[in-house]
Amino acid sequence: MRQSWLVARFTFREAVRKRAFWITNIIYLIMLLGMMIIMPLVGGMDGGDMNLNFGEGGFSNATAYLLDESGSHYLAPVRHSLENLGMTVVEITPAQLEDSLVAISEDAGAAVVHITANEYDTLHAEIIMRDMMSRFPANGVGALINMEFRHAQLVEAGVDHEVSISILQSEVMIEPVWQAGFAAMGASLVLMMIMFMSVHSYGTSVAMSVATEKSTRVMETLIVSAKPPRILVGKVIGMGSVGLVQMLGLIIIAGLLSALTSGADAPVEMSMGDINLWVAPLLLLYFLAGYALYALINAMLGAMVSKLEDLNSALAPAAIITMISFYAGGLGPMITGGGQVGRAVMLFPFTAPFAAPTVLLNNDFDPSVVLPSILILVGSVVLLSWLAGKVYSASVLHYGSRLKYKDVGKLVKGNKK
Amino acid sequence: MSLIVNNLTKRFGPKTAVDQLNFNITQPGVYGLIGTNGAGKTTTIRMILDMLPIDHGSALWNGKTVKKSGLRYGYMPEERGIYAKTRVLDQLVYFGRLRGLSKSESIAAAKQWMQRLGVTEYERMPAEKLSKGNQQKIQLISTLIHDPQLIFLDEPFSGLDPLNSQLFHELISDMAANGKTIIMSSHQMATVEQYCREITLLHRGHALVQGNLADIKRGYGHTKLVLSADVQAYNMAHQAGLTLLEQLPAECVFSLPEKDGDAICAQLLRDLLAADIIPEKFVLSEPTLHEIFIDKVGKVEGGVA
Repeated sequence: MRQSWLVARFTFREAVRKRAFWITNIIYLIMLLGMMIIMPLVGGMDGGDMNLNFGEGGFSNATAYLLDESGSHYLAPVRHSLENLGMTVVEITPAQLEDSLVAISEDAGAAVVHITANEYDTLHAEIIMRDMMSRFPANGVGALINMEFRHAQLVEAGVDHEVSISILQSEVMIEPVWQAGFAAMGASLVLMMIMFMSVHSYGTSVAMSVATEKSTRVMETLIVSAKPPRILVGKVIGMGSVGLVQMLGLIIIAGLLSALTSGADAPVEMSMGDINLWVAPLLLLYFLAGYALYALINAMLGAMVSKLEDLNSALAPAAIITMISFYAGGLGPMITGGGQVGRAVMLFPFTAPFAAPTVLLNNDFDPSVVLPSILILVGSVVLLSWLAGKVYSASVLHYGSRLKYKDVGKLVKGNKK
Repeated sequence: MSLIVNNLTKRFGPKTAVDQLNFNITQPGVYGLIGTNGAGKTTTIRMILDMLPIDHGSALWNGKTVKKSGLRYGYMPEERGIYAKTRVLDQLVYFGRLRGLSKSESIAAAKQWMQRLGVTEYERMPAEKLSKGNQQKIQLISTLIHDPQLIFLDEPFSGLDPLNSQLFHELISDMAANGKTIIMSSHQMATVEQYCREITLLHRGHALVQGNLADIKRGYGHTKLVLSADVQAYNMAHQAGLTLLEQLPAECVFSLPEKDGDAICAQLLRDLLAADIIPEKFVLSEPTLHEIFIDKVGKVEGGVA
């Protein structure tokens, strides 16, 4: 155990000392800061032409070129309403349409509102704007046209003017409420991504570390000092610690940034109140066991190559397993809403680490699934550690062409003697 | 202290890499393991060190199987391997600690060795910035940092300049004098001849020649005469049945016939003296290890004899 600990410490220190580690951290931080800056901006964009707040802003600098070819008598009230909201309204004839189109091509706040009717007298309003970045409040104008149309119909049907307005302004407020709220869903998505990134990045780093030691022949010096399985365990722990420290650091920085930037104007108010914090130790267990499972696979594959240029192709099977497991385990329960799919992916060791955040954070905790799932996952890690130790011991002194799986089998068999 | 290798055998599929190898080392000193490429030297070392499982036979140090936990041994592999990006002192301390030393012991031992080998100034440098010779010194320090009793050196002199070779020579001599058991694998026969009292010559997994080097040479008897005299003396040597092997500016080297070589040389010396020719040099010599190697391997291969 002492030797594994020494290897882990050395691996950790060497990884942290590398320039690549700090460059990755800086990139992650820039991405994080970028997200912090972009998110409010994206939220703020909703206040533009998508916001149907008739009384404020959006209408005052806009110009509508109204062309009514429907023969209806709704145009006057529409025009009146728009002008009341501060919009400049210009009524045009079909002959003036071309000139109006030219005019709106030079004004991001202008649009041609072309109203027509079909043979059943159904109205159709076409709002022609310059481009997708236009500031013209199309939705608001559309809603207003609809409102005036319905109002006129109600009045024609004999409904009192005031009653009609009252009917049109009243609506049922619909509020979707999820038992497991936004924070739980967001957290499970973030944890899934962290799990995937950790498995992919640090699993690959373990393989890279093993392959580098082999290709530079340090391995021969190393295995004189310690038994190969101890070296392997040390490497997995060392690189895993790097991942854990990096991820924890990013989570802390993200939390601090979030606390600094959030306030009354924050677009989305996050509350952790709907997350059961007691599942945190379980999630940590899934995280560690999941990382160990994939890191051991990567270490085995790394030990099978003698040249670093062969590493990518050697790691392809691990990458495929990781991707399939991520989609099946991570997104499966989310799409299907848990159920049988959720149970199945929790019981399969490769998918369980990706499924656990969704299943546990969304209050789908079922001891009859979670406990066997943990036992199977931990059992698989133990089994794979034993197998990885055998493969690693047999492969690390093999030089030359990349080992095939059957060759590894033979070497392991030969090493038993 | 004894290393007893008994019927050591290793097979890789249909190929037998080492076949029933036996040798005993019963006294401290340097033991030579020589052979062609692929002869089985490295495989033998790996089996003794428990890095490779033994198919058959055994390797016992003081009657016990060599284990990492039970014995301080050092191994410098043929292919040098150190962490290129890691600072020299850091990696030496790491290897020292892996071999059972405490941190302070590792630092002290590393600094002591670095001072002895003249690389102290590089202790904070990444190893990749060192010259090949200095990297080799670091590799040697990592092998010896924990003061092992049994030391395996695989081609220790390859790539060293004469000054560093001399430094390694002195170090190995000191270790042998201090009671260490060293097994040296090398292609440089002159080096092996300089250090090793006993050798094993391996070829294709088999031991072709084994034992005390002086005895082996004695078994061959005198094979050459080095003669430094005037031209008449060289002619007389030729007439006596000696074959000219090499003509150097100041002397000639003759090969002796397999039978009665010593008697022919004795008669030649008497004839030279009778003719009032006093040779400046008249030396009968045994074959060098290089010649024995060529002879033995050549016979097996059916090539050069």
